[in-house]
Amino acid sequence: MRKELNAAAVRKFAANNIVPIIFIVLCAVCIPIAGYSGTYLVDQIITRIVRNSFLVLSLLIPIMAGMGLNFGMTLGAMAGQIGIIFITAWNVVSIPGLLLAAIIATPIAVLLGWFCGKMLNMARGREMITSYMISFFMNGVYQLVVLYGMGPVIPLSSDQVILPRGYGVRNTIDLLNVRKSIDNFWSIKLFADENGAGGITIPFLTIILIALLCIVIIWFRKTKIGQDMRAVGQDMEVAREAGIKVERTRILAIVISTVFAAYGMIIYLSNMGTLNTYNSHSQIGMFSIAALLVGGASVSKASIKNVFLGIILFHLMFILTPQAGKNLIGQAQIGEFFRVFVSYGVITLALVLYEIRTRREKAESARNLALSQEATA
Amino acid sequence: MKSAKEIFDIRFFVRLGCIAVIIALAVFLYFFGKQRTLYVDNWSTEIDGTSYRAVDWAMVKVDDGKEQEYSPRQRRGLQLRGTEHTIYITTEDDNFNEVVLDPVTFTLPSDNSIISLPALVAGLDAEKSIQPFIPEPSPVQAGSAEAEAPAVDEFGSMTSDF
Amino acid sequence: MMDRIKELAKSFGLPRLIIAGFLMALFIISPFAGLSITAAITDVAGRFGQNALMVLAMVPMIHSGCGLNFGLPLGIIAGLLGATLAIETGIGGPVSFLLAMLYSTPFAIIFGWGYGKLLNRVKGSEMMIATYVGFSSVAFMSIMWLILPYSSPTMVWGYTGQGLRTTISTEGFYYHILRDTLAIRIGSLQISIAEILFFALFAFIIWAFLHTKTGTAMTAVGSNAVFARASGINIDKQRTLSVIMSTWLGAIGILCYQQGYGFVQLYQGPMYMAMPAVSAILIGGASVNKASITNVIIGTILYQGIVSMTPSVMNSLIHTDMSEVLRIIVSNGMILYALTRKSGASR
Repeated sequence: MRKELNAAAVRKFAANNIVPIIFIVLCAVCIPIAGYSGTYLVDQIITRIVRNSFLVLSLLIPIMAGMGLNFGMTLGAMAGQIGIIFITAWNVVSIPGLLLAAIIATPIAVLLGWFCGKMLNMARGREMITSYMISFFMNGVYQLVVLYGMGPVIPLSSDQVILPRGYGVRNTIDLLNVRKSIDNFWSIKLFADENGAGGITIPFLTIILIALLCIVIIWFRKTKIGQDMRAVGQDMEVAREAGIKVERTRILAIVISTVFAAYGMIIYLSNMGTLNTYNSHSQIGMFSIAALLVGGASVSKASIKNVFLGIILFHLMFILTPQAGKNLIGQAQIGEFFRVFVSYGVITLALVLYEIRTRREKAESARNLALSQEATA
Repeated sequence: MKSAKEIFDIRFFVRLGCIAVIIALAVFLYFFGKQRTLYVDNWSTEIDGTSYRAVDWAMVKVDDGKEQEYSPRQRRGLQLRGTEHTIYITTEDDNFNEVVLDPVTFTLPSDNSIISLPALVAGLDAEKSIQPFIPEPSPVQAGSAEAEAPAVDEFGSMTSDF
Repeated sequence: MMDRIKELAKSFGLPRLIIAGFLMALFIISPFAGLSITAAITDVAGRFGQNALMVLAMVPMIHSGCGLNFGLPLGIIAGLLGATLAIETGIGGPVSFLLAMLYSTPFAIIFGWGYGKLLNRVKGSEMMIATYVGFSSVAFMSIMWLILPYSSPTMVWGYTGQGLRTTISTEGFYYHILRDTLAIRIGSLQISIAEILFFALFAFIIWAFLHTKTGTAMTAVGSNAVFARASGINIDKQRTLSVIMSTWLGAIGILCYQQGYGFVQLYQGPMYMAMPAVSAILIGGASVNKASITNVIIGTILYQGIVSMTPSVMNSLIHTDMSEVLRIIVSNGMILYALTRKSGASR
């Protein structure tokens, strides 16, 4: 009896955590094939955690408000990039530069988030595909601004940023001025050899920033507006009857997410050290969402734990597969395609599983309702 | 319609104050964090009709930077942050005695400026010794301009890093 | 009078009216910008023949209530498999086109069947999942193109002898096989009758199908699922059938595209090919749950007209080519407009 119960529990656990389990197995297989050293992997993972977790954390609040995965976080990334473009053109360096970029990005992100929220309120029930299309649409607007607006309309005149023809921003901008300035502000190096190469770098300031955001998110859940969001996420009609301004709450959730995504993008870019003006943002949403889902989150439920587990597993796969592909078949390209396939596949799988689960739950609750009605009759 | 009193309540002013503080912070960050280039130049030069001959030897330090040695016809570019800078010069007189000059404080007139060491040593005002300076663009950059023309990209590359 | 105009505008759809007006303006301006109008028409006609079938692939799924077929890349992949297999045989000429169609059909049916089964389990969020099914299949096939044992020297990378090239020329196989048959040539004007007939054939088949018993049942599933269930229609079966049809049309569509374009594009090529097709049918006046053959024809002409006309007109007028950016804004804005409209809120 006891054993059966355990078996059932194990099966349920496995069914609920199928995506992380697949990933753990995948990584376990790839580690020996890729043949990287332990310190290298740990260092890489830490780098990528500090680089990406702010971005992934920005996804949590819309999920709380029942709006699904916010593919519109790309909008925030665009706002962040605009901030970075400005400070590079003005030559404002280091941490003051990044702070200034964040200040510039905030109103843009608020505006874009507000637009996105408005749109999503008009497309209730298909928020995800709509936010996805918004990101494509806004990408067009972004390119219009950056490629044709910057220079003549928005006065910027820097050889580093503006193309020689006088308008438009360069394809790639070197962010030497702000490169790793948050990370290097206060960091220590462990297990390095005598030349200072290798080893594990731990950037404390970035970690503190990320921890702060986590605390803010936990605190936010307990505030009045956070509670409202959860109520809206549970059931929009019930929330409306309880006197919550549903539309406003939903817009607010998206605005907050977009602003955090903008800050996340600034941290991401300062860590990367280069900005691909027309490219950097386009895949950010997809990868962040894939990372979150890999951590075991679903469309309606995600926690901070999912974020970090997700980033660790997803990036482990990201680092390992090209090398594994090279060692196994002799082509790194296979590994690259493989990780793209896995990213897309994970999103597909998580979405499908979520839909199936919700339908099953709905059917069950309907059955229970029918049963209880029968019992009372 | 909301009345004026409802709109201009305490919350409104608190928000206005916050925005003002943030804008002030942004302006401060702009000036505090802006990096400009100063070329310290030890060439013989002529300013306002007076000629200054290059200094034979000098040790120069700007703000908290490293102290550097200058020989005649030497020019170095320095990256400076903030609005006000101080230059410390140590040189020698005709009898090879070390002379420590008084530190000179100055502001930069342009993103790229040049300061003449001989003029400073001769005791010319800092404002007059500094001039905006546009370095000649290196010919390599012009060639790469064509390759730099951006292509409009709707979706981005499938295999980008994250 | 004013009311009638308003009424007309409403029935035609304001965005569609703006886009049609814009295209008209482009045609009117182009002679003044020193462009040949006949060349423009030739270009639009060619693009229409190339792309119309992929737009048509949207219709069955919209009819059965599966929403916009963002999973078109799956059908395209079936087409690519057919194309590569046909080239692998080494048989050239018109036969290769027939072979490609023949080879891609079983793949399209199998893929479509699985895809349909999947979509039946996720009713209500088909579009999002369709998008990602398309993406995953493209990424998966990217791996496959590298390792599948193709050996035809026209397709395989020369120096490694393994893995397919990113673009394969259809020259010597079915390059312009429809474009150059039965072409009307008046001066620089060239319109290919065969291409248009080819599309008309499929459009007719779909139109006729939608008027058969199965076809009306399919439409019933899309417009009112509860009613359809009550009248004894097997909803899941109808939906699966529609998905298979859409996938197969996508496969044929990409073959038709390749014969006009001249290249088979592998790897990332098909990734985002659904977007122009989706946008075209929406510009044609379709909505998320309603589409007709007329929508396909009007939409493809408008979309392809704008895509081909704007660059040249803009270049000659203001010497800056902003057209690509404008196209991104217009085509994605159109999809956004359709998604945010109140009608069809259920899907």
